[in-house]
Amino acid sequence: MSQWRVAAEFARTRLRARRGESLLSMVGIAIAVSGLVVLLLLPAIAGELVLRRTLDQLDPSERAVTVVVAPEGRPDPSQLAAIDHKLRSRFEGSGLDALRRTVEFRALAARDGSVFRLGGVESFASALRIVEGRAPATCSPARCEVVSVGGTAVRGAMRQPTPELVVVGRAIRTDPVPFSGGLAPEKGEQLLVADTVSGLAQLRSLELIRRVYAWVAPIDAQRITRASVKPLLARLAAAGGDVDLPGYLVSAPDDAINAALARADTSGRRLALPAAELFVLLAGVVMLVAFARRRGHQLAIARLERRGADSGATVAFSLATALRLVAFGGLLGLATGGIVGAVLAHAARLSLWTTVRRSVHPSSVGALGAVVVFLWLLLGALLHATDPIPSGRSRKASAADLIGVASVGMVALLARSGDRNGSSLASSLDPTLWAMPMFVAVVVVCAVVRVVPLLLMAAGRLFRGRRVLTRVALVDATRAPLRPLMTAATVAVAVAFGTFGIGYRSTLERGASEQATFAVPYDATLSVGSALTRPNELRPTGGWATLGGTAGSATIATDVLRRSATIRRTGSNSDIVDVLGLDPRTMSAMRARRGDFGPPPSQLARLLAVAAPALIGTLLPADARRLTLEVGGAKSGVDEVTIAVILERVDGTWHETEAPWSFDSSVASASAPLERGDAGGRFIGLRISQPSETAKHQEHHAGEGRGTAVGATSTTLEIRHIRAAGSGAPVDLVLRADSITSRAATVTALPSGGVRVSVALQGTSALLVPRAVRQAIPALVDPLTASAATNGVLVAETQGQTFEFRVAAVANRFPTLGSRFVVADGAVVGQRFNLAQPAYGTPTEVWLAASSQSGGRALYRALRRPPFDQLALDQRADRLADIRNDPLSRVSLGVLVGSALLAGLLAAAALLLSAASERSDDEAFHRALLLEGATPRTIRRFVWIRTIALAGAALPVGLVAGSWLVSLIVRVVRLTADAIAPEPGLVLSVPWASLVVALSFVAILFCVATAAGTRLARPRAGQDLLRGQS
Amino acid sequence: MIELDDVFVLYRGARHDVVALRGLSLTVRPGERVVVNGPSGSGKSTLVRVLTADVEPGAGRASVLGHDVAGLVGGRGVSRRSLIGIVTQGSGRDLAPELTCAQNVALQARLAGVDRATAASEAVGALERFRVAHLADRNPGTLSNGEAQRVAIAAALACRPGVIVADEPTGELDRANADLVYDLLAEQTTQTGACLLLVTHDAAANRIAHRVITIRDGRVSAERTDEVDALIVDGRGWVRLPDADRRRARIYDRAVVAGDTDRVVARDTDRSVVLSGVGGADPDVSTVKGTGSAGRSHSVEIVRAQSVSFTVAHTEVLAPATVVVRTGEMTALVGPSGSGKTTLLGLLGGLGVPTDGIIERAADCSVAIGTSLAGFAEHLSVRDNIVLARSVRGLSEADIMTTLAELGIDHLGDRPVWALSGGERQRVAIARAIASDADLVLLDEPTSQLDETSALRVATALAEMARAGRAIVCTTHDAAITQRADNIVTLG
Repeated sequence: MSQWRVAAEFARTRLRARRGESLLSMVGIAIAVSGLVVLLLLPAIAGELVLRRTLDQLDPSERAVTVVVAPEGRPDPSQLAAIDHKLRSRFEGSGLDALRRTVEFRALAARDGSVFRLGGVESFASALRIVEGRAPATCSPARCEVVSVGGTAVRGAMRQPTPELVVVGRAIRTDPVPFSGGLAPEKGEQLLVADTVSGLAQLRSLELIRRVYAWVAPIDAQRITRASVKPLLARLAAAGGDVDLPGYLVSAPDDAINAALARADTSGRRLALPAAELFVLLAGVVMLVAFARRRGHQLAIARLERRGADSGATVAFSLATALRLVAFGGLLGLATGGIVGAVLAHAARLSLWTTVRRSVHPSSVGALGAVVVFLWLLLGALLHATDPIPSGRSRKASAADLIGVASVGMVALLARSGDRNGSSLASSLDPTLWAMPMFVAVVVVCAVVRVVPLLLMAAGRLFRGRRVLTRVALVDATRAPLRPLMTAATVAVAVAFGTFGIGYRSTLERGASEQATFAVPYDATLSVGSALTRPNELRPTGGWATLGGTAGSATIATDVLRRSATIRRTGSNSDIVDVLGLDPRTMSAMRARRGDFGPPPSQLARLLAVAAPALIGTLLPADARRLTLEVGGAKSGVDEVTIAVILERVDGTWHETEAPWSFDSSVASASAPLERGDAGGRFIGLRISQPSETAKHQEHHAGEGRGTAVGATSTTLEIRHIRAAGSGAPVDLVLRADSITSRAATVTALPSGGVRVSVALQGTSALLVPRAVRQAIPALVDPLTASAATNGVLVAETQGQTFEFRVAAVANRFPTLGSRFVVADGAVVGQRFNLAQPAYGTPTEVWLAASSQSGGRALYRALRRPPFDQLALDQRADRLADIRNDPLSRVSLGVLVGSALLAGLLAAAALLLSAASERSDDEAFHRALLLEGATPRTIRRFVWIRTIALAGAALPVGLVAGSWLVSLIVRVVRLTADAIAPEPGLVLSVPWASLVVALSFVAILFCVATAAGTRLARPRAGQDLLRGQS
Repeated sequence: MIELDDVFVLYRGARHDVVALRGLSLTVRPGERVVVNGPSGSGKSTLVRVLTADVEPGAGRASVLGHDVAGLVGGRGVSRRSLIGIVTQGSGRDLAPELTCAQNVALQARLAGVDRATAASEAVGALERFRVAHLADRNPGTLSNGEAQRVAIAAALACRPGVIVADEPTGELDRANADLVYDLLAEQTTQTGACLLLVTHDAAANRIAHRVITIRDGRVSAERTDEVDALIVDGRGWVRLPDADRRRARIYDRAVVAGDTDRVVARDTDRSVVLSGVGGADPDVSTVKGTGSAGRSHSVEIVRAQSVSFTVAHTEVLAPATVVVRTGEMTALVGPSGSGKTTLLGLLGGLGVPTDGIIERAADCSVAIGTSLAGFAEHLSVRDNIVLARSVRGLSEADIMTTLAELGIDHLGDRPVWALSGGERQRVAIARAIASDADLVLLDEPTSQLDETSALRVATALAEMARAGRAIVCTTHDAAITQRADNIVTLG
């Protein structure tokens, strides 16, 4: 024991005496440890950020916990009080703002017939601000004062809705949560709010009116944390069973929160990958530290042994030396990592202590402890061991070769063991993430042991017979391979991880861009929004092309029809496919162009091109206001059906307008007013249906199992004239029997003109429209769908009708679509669909693309302005920004850049350490060279050339290994930067140009670090001699 | 007690294996002092390394104080090493530079479990015994060779080991210091009953020896006890004839057993063998006596050091000295340890500026310095190391084998430096300096690790080179050099 103590003291004395050398070793360890510490803290920080962002992005009305009770009739006040008590105690201390109780009555009719809503709210002043009049003061069962919220009417001028409700002022909301969501008044409805819940509930005149009680508590996104949100979610889950009342409902953004937390957890687990990289680099640094100190350490051991130290004491000496280096380096790294973590936490408005508390789990502490112990033992063992690794010049297979081959096998095994995605990573840490870089690092080391000596030997041969010093610098490194090879291996591994960092970052960034372009293939997509307005209803007068147009820029637009259809795969199985119709000529504007998708857009445009569909139907006069059908024949059957005219608007969209019957003595007529956009459009055909009541009756009858015969309608209509009336004389429209088709009706021509239609309806309708062209539509389909084609023709079924598509091209993916799709010319598909079901072929979206960047900005600005706020707007730039600004994306990408930088720094530190230790270890030889007349500069150059040659030889190995690793990870880990499943899948993207630039900087860094290393340990040329020490 | 029985040691290399010991047998009893000598490369240092458990015998058995050495090698569990005092030529370098001299001496006691205060007190006592108590608080890096060596000996022997193994402990010391070391070693063995195995080329060591043995070709070949010289016949019947006897009998490369004149008798206790030579040429080494510069047509003054002195950290390591170096002459710098010989050599070589005095050097004078401090590219061959040194000077590859042959190491040309013995390394270092074609060759103790024959050969070669027009300056304690020197400069 005393020997161990003496050995430990000796270790301490040695380290103190060699402060510079020790500090250098510790700094190397500290850099990597600090990276690990930051990685440990990052998930907690990113988790908080993503939680906040998720809540921030929610609509204020959704960013709240709402408990709703909608009792039948007026509930017992004591029952309400019990619920109130239970809910308040349930959510007390949960981090929510105070629960606020509201009551709201269903839409009520005022005396003047207008509709208004009535509600009461607790903490009135915190929810509303009076802008006119005063706040409500009293509320009795007979009379209650209220304020009008958000209405335009002012006190006095306003009509009092009922005698019991007295409007005393006008207010605006300061809290968007109460009376929001399903309780929000609809457009044009007035909201009256009382300053009480119980008082309003007791109002006698409303006794029988159904009401909804709600307890609402906003979630403060700035105050909620991951630590507090989990108990809250648990309370929410428990609250679901708190009350057994009809209409009891608890709602909260728990799905969004859970999704965010799951994403954060997944992303945090993904950090195991850079953590493993850093661990490997840390091990590399520790090994280099060991090799740099070995000679001096072995001398010290020899000295101890000369003085009688036993093996235990020398082991204690090695372990004590290692422990001090690892411990102090680790502490330095801990402090540095802590500072970086504190800065990051501060940016996330967290305290370091909170972050640490949330990051440190028994498992992470255990893992960190295991890392420290491992590094300590590794350093101790390497310092202590005497056996060198074998020379890499041997042609025989060595242990390194076997380990390398085994590691390649392990990597292949991991790569084939299935994808890692959000769901597989959400619950547990996948060993692949940390094992993959480790095995790749082992492969790199083994490759370096085999390849680098050969490269150095080959380089040495170039200098045969000249520049002996350079040749010796290159070749001699292969003869004593321990430190040179470990230096090269560390550099190669660092370059590999740096390449991985840059490559994976680039891949994720490209992935983010592709996600955005896949979802929004052009610059923007307009679709039907909550107002149910179709984009083309808001088409600018000059067309979409004029929107956002700037000088030299135009907007490319295409109407997009998105439907689904079934494709029969076998006799009994069908697949659902997405059918997308768009203008192929505009496909060149598509931003999502990836080689693995299929043919390029220009080729697709050619393959899908088809002649514009012929105009069908009859042109309506530009001044037409009304269509009138004159029907003769069996008058008794006429009133058993309804008739609707099918029209194509000027903008190409179809719609149906019911034409009510009117009768005179001999003729029944059905007349339909034309809508805006119909005049100048086309009359397409008719739909004959059963009246809705008859259809319902028939449906009900069939539902009760009493047969289907009841309610069936059979009739014959003679449609003699169809006239369009406008400001001028009425115009007869043509309806020819031979040009129309119907599956549920028989159409024959009348001798006097017009058609006779015989229908037998049974819950169905008869559509009388022109015949569709039967020619198959050229289409782009996915490979599986293509395999279902017969002779290249695919039959898709929708709306009870079949459509033929000719497989013109096959692609793996198409933007906005799933894995099964059919893409064809939108005009043709739209017309065919419309003929099957009028308005089914109406475009649902408009894709817009600007031809220039400035045009794009102008387009974005235009689309944000009314009237387009009625539509759902999806902009590619917004999507991209959203993905990029996601905290998880930023953390993931930042970590990759950071790990690449750290790898570069550690590689430079390794070279510095190697050069310095070489100068120190080979001091005697260098002194000999100096005594032979070599200048110190020559010696420095000698060491520099050798070290840089090692780095140079390691670079290609690292580059190849890094590219290999990134390709493996991209293939195995199916996650985007923001930790969701990539759509489309990620594609490896190594930015070679950036990599070359980065490598240039790295090369300069290596040169500088090596040069610095050669200067750190200066051989004392003649000082020893002059002092008489020979 | 030391016991070696038929010990073989083989150093394995990538291309070359070197057999260092070939069946060496030796017993040293408690209290016995045995001096070992032999030519360089004969295996003396390997013998020491076997005893200190640095090398494991490939065959045979070696034990120290009853412990098998094989069990001590590599395991580092050498607690029994505390019973062995190890002193080497560079023992000063075995001192931990991070500790003071007193701490270095106390280290062994502390490792043996003695408390700090007692160990410190014992250390001071040991330093006093070896007359270096005044250095107690000094750092080893600040000591001269002689001082460091004495401190190292004190550190090695402070714990009164049962076995003392010393390898050329006085190689770099002057006569007085060397004698002091011998006396101290003898005193120590007498006081503690330890046995001493002293490996040295210094004949002066024989005075403290109970027995002097000679090692040749990895075997004990001869033994001298009580003024009686005997050849050793090992268990396989191998007998190694001394070179002088071999030459006298004109036995060069073949011999037959015959009873004839011109015979050499190797006598055993009860029988004799008669050997005589049958042919071959006598590769006798000519001896060259220095004759000074007189009669040499090209003797030119190349360096003049006038009253130069040198001070390090207020300590004068070289008192004012004057020396003139001429081409065609070999100059020997002699003097006691610490007198400043090596310092003067360094100043002559331009490694520093004297504190006082002037050094004038011819304008185009090129200098080569050979010192044991200068290392080698260990994995390169001897030839490649010398070629490398020439290339550093911008010289082309030349026939360096002649130089190696002059020093008797031409057979080592392709051997990697790491496989050389201490004496061989020293000769390669000299060859490297000479091969530099420098006008002025400065050598620091060029024969300190060489046996008598090798030292003679090196001294002769240096004198020849001087006669050929080079200026050679050597620091030395060796008579082989001084006898052939043209000038002898005495310092101190």
